[in-house]
Amino acid sequence: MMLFTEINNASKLPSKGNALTGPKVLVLFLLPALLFSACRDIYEPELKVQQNFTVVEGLITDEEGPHRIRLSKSSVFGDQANPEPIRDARVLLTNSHNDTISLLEASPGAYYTPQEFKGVPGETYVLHIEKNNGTLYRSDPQEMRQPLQKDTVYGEFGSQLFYYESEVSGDFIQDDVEGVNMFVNVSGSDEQPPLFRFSTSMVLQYSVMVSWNPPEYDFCWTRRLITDFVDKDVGRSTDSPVSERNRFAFFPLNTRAMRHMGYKINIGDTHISYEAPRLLIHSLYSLNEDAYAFHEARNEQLDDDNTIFDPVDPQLPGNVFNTADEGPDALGVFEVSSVRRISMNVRPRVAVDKIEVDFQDCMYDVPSAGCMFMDQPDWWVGGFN
Amino acid sequence: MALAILPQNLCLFDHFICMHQGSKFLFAGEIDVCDHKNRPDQYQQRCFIMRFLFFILFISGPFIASPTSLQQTDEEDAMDVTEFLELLERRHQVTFFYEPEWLEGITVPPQKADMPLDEVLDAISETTNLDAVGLEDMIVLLPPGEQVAAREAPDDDRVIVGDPGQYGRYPTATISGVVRDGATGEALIGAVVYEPQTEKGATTNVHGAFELDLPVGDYNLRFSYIGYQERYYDIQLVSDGSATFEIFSETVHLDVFTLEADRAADNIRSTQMSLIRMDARTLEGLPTSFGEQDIVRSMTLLPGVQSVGEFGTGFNVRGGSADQNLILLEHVPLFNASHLFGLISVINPDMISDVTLIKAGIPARYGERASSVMDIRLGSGLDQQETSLRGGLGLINSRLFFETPIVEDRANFSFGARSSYSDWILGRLPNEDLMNSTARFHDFTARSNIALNPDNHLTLFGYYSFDRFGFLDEQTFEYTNTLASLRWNRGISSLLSSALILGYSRYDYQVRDEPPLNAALHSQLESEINYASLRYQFSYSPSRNHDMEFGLNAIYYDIMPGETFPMGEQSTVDHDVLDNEQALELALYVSDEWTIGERISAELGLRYTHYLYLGPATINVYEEGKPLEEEFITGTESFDNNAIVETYSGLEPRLGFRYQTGEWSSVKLSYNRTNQYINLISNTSVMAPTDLWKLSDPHLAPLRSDQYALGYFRNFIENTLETSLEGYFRNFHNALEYKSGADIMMNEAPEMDVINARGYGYGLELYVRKNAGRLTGWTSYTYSSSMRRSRSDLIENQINSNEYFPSNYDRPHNLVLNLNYQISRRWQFGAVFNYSTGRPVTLPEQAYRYGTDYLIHYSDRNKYRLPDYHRLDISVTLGENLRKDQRGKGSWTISLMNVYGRKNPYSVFYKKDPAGVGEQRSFNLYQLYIMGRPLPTITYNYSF
Repeated sequence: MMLFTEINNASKLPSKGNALTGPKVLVLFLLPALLFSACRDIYEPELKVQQNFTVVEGLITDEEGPHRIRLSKSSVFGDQANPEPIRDARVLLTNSHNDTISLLEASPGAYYTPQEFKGVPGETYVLHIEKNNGTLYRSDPQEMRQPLQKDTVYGEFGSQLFYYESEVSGDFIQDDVEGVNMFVNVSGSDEQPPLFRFSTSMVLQYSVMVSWNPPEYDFCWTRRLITDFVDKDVGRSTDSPVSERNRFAFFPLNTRAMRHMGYKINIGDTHISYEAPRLLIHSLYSLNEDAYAFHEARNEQLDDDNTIFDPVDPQLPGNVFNTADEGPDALGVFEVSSVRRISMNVRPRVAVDKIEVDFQDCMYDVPSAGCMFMDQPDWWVGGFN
Repeated sequence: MALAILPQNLCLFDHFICMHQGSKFLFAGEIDVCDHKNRPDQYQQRCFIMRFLFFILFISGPFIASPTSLQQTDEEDAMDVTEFLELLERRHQVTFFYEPEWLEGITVPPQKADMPLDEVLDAISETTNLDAVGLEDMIVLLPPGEQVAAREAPDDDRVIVGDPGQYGRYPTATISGVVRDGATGEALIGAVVYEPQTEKGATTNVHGAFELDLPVGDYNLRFSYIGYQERYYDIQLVSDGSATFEIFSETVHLDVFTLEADRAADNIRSTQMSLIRMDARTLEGLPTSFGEQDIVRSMTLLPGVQSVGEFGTGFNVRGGSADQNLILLEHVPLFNASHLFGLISVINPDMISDVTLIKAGIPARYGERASSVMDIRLGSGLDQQETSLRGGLGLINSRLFFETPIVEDRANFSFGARSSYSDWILGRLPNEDLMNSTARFHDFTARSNIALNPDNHLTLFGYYSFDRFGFLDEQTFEYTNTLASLRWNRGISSLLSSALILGYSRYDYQVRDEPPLNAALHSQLESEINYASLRYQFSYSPSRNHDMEFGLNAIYYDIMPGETFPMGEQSTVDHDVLDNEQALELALYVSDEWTIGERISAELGLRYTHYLYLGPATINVYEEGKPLEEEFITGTESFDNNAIVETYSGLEPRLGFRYQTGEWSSVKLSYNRTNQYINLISNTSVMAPTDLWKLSDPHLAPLRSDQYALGYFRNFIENTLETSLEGYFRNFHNALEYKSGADIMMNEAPEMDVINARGYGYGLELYVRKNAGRLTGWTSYTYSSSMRRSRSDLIENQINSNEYFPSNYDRPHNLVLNLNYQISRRWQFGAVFNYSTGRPVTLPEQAYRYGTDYLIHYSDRNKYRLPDYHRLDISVTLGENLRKDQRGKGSWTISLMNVYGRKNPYSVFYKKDPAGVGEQRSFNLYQLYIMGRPLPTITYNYSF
């Protein structure tokens, strides 16, 4: 069964001014087109690409390292091959005191800081890249802002549309899934209103009975990034130190529907029991203006359906520039953020119309998937379905 | 002989066919048309006399005999009737005129030629069902009811100008004349007066007045005007004097093409350049779109006028955007000229009497928009004596037109309506999605003409159009146009007249969003623009060489940019309203058409506009030197209702010169500046009904455009071949360009999403038009360029690093071939071929991975172009039959659009293809085409 990873726009929460915007209106234009033998074909223009861009994907946080700067090359549109890494570059990081550290290429195109390196909020960093052909790039000075606080985390019952492709008919089927929307209020300060992005992953616990007598279980889990299932992963407040009601997660009440989110659910197997608690791990990054501009534009581009009458998406603004010649600047962004993470156990209680949130520790490093025989992990939240 | 040259004037009154002296006509294909209702009674009396004489000559004379039918004979004995008639011509020294198709397949025994001529004629009539009508030695075979009589000699129109007592006192004298509609008395503006002997001519001014200097003596003046029958007056000029000349409109059309020699000469003698004028008759010859004439679509076949494709509202003139065209329907602007998002124009073709498109040298009386004026006039004059009804049945819609006099020669009323039945078609399509969709429109037009007295005329006009479009019952889209106007024309004196025009126009749209599974999102968006105007215009001729026009124009704009409502109890959509906008645009203008010499004339005009953007308003204040972005808002400034928030003003010179290099050639040049205070903010390359009309405000300065044009005009072959070569250069200041990713719906601060850009455009337009003969039509080639650039030091307000880039309307090469061939009296073939360079587009150029996302890097703005556009349409029309006694008549038009099935890309977009969770998405570019294969249509037009 093929799943859609994108959420229909109709699933978005209503918000001021956006209920009728976007590509749905533009679908109307298609009708006369259909009536009058309109059709669409794959279009393969001859793109006049002189050279590929250098792509920088860099993140330095105030957590312990190692932190990674990944360098790669862009590809011509339509070429879906994996990006070609940029090897053998010299990558340096300097702060406002001209302290410099060199990053090591641990794998092709991936450059790491020393493990002990830890960004300092309030400090400014500059990334220097020298490719093996001598081309130089340098980022604008990037300030690491103070970490933001999560004032309130709460959940609300709601629903979201998912589309998936039927294995039987091949048709796309729409599923309106009941579930829980999670919200967070983010606080900055009067001097520095919040400017942030976040990512959220969810851990699904399940146990597999391997023996009846005596009962023996495998304690298993799957962790997936679920940020894609919310409208956007950036936020800001310009006139208040608090940015309220930022939706950061949605998860279904019915475990079966979690397959729409990429979890492999095996309902038919009576040996498997899924845990009711939904364990969420939420990371909040405090951004500066450069990083925010990039991520906001990235959200817009990813959110756009790109139907025929849509405006051209914004070009994503970067902050790493070519300083050696007239060649193009680098794509991507060098991000310097302080980060705060929380993990929580969310327990929806439908009968009493209440959603309980218990904050958990020790969950930040949960691997993406695994099982432990007869032994629950430290972070395990007990209770079977 | 079937195709003959008539040696002298001949008028077939009952069928309203006129043929002129000395002109070479093909009987069936090149005769002029006229309306006998417009003829003075004396003409009809003379025709009666001639008919009587003919009766005496051929019927009551020595040929009286019992009619004998011409029995068709055996093959070997039979003679083709045309050969038989030639035999009669030789034998009786007469000439027959007829249409060969009427006699096809009819044979007669040759021995019948021995019968007396009158008996033969009677027999021919009985056999062919044609009447034989004679005049002297000419015999015209016509369908029953047609009769013939001679037109009066030109001498009968003799006019003595001046005081006979002054005769011989001066060697030259001046005729000061006024040309009027013979039926309504209305002064005709732009009528051409020509004296062939001296090759002198003049054009009437806004009063219908002209002056012509000639040596005293006798002249034969020719008067012509678009849509009117050409008329000659014999003049005896004895001294300075004045006279009124009447000409009559041609309101009955026989699907024949008229020799338009003198009409075509307008392009030589008029100072105005870059003008295209089409009357009702010309419109009938235009190519059809979905079976009916579409004036907007037809305009895009003219040089310098283009559309973005087969779909989409509006058109582009000389590199300007669609909102830069002022489309006036009976003096009121139309804000959306398209049904079904551009498929069909909202203007009922049956109602149109006259359309004028001006691309350069725009007269001072026009303003508001920067690129062009399209002035559409509806209905007919008070000369309409009978109630008429006509209409058409097409694949998409039907239309009806009704016109009737209310008080003879004093008041009339016309009404037109169209309605689609595409909903009915949708409901029967074998596709569930389409069955659950809706697409329909209708429009109503009403107009009344009232002559209070010879000097005071009132015209009332009303219009309403409605479109509804829905897809899968989830979303419906509606938009309406409502227009009304009142015009009062007053003749104050022989030199001064006035026109007071009150106009109102409203355009509104609604979008209803009702996703079936999510009642929480049910909502409705509304937006509207209201426009009210007052124009008071005077026309004054202080001397023989000056025709002045002056007046004032006040326009009130009221725009409701958007309001959203929740729909249903479960909807959680917030109610939201954007602040209304209102403004006043005031204009004073004066112009003078100055006849400097016999060959030189000029049009000098000046328009002053003063614009006031009014409260209530809340205006964002941005940090100095920073881009207009949310983070740089330092505060807001509030204004009370009707408080002046911002003002702009500007002088708009309008200049035009003409130098006539020969009888049929002239050189013209023009300059005009226009300020535009209302813009359509669009973030797409095509004009969409949901685009936002936005007034100039403190952040968005008005658009200003200057245009310089130079043209050479030359007519050939008795003016039947009209050619022109025009070049132009224009620049734009404060042209709005959207920022990438701009969102315009429910945008509280649209200034953040647009950039004031500069631009320029230039072009060369070659136009050749053939007006007469069986083969008519035009061809044009245009080479043009339209460029834009941002000029900001702020990188946020830059496009393509401030380098020039092609505008969305830049299509350098454009070739149009539009041909009509009159196969026979009733059959007509038409073909239209159109080629143009593909329009510019911005494409995704590179992709890169960032985290788990694949991101797109776009090319520079408009770096690429869509594939070239070309298309061939053909049509065949079977016209109305010739029987006058048949009350209802019909014609069929069968057309085939996109004959060779060219897939012209209308738009290109990229799509993220579905992928499994956690997998990388892939992308594909798609091209969408509207007509991917040949599309046949059939339309039946009828009249009563």
